[in-house]
Amino acid sequence: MSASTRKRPLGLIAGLVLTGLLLAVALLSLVWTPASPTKMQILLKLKPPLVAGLLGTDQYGRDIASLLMVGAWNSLSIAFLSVLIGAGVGTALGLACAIKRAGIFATLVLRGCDVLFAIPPILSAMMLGAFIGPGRFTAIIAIGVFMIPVFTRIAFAAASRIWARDYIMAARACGKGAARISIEHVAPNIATPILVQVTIQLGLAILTEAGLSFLGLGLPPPAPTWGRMLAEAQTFLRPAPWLALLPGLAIALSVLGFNLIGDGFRDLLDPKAETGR
Amino acid sequence: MTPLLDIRNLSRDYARPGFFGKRERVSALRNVDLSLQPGEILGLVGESGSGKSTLARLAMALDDPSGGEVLFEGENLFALPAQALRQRRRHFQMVFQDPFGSLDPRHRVGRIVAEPLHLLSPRPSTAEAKTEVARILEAVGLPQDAVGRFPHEFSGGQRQRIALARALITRPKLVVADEPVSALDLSVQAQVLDLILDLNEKFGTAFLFISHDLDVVEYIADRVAVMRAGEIVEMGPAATVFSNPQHAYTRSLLAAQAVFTVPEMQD
Repeated sequence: MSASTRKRPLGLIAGLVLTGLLLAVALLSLVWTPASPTKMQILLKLKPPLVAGLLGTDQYGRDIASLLMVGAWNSLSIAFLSVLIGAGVGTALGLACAIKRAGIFATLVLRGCDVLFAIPPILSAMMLGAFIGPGRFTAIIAIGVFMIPVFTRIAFAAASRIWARDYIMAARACGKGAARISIEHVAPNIATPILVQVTIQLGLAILTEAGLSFLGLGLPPPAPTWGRMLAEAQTFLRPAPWLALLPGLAIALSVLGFNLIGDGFRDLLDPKAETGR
Repeated sequence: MTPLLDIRNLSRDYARPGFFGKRERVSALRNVDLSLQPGEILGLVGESGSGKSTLARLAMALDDPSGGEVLFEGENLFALPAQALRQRRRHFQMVFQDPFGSLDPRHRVGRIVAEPLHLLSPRPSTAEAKTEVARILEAVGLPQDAVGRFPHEFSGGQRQRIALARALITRPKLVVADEPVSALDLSVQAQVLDLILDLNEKFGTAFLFISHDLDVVEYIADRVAVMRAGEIVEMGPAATVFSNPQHAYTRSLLAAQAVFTVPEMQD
């Protein structure tokens, strides 16, 4: 038994390890993969793990380990960029709305968020894809736009609480304008809930990207994505179950990793949670 | 002599949404007249909800009145253009009741104290700002190493010193102090009150000192104004008001206070 009464943030550590590994694999894929992810070797098709390559081969004889690695990079880069868009635009909108809570701007933006919430990202990706064709950009924009209302609401709620504080009144007494107060005082004080939400949304973004790829709305072939690997594996579920299991596992583990980090952050940074110890 | 602060016929209503969308109007301040001479400490007493804090916000031009005007050195603050009002702000600053809520927890003390410095023209350089901060920290009795620390590392009394340092760094002519010692322990209260008296003498800063505690006001104020339900019911030199209250409400306030002072005298 440890002498320390503090509960160790095991979930957070597990999440950081999982995500760290995922990130390392994704970055490694940029410089090295066990085999070329696009090289087809029909003679070696549908080999189980360790028979040909570390994790076996798919229906075209491509190395699954290499596909998964490049898929990790595709997944992560799209997730990061779309969450960056969502968090950036959403937080800025939320901060702006909190300045005049009942103003026309705030009302329009917040009702706009309600509308955006009602449209699933798959649908907006299909519409966007129809205009500009499927691809990395389409996926990033579609997922990013879908993330905006979440961050707008969280930033708005947190910023509204901060605006009621005396130190905001003191800043106004120092002649600071609303924009300056938002940047210097409000934004740093809502960073914690935003950061927690970023990690949670990263998991969601990976899931959404996989969903888009599964439906053929993500990156076009031959770029490997976990979602499309899963979709193509359906045909071979009986003879080669690892084709579906491996990308499925990759998706599940990376979402789990981000969610563990998000929960861990929240427990670590929320002073109210400490009473439960 | 023109008063430093001249509040004329000031009123403030709040609209409170009632049932079925009907809006009720609640009057927080009714036709208040008040004036403050340079260097004077005016105590404003009254029970919770009597409109003291509303008056403080209006005197600082942080809220818009429903009627009346606030003249600072003869200029109506609410008639000034935004830029001009901003420039005037270096001459009137504020100290708040809650020393844990009035300092941004994410900023270091050096940055907090230097916050109003950008109001000065010409704007002080980084080096000048540093000297100013060091000087004002010394004046309020804080250690110089406070600059690099965060507010949560300080006690309530020290935090109120930080707040005073921020309010006084531009050498304002007026500081509005809204219940500045109410959240502090008795012994710390005395220290902060003495500091305010000391700063009043050293810098010649006038204080509008708001409190619900009559003992505190009696100790610190030159003149006293008594507020009740948004109106000033009695005003006069502190000694006169406390020894010979004219208004029934002042008498009842003093009577209520007496209950708590009797056991102390028996010791």
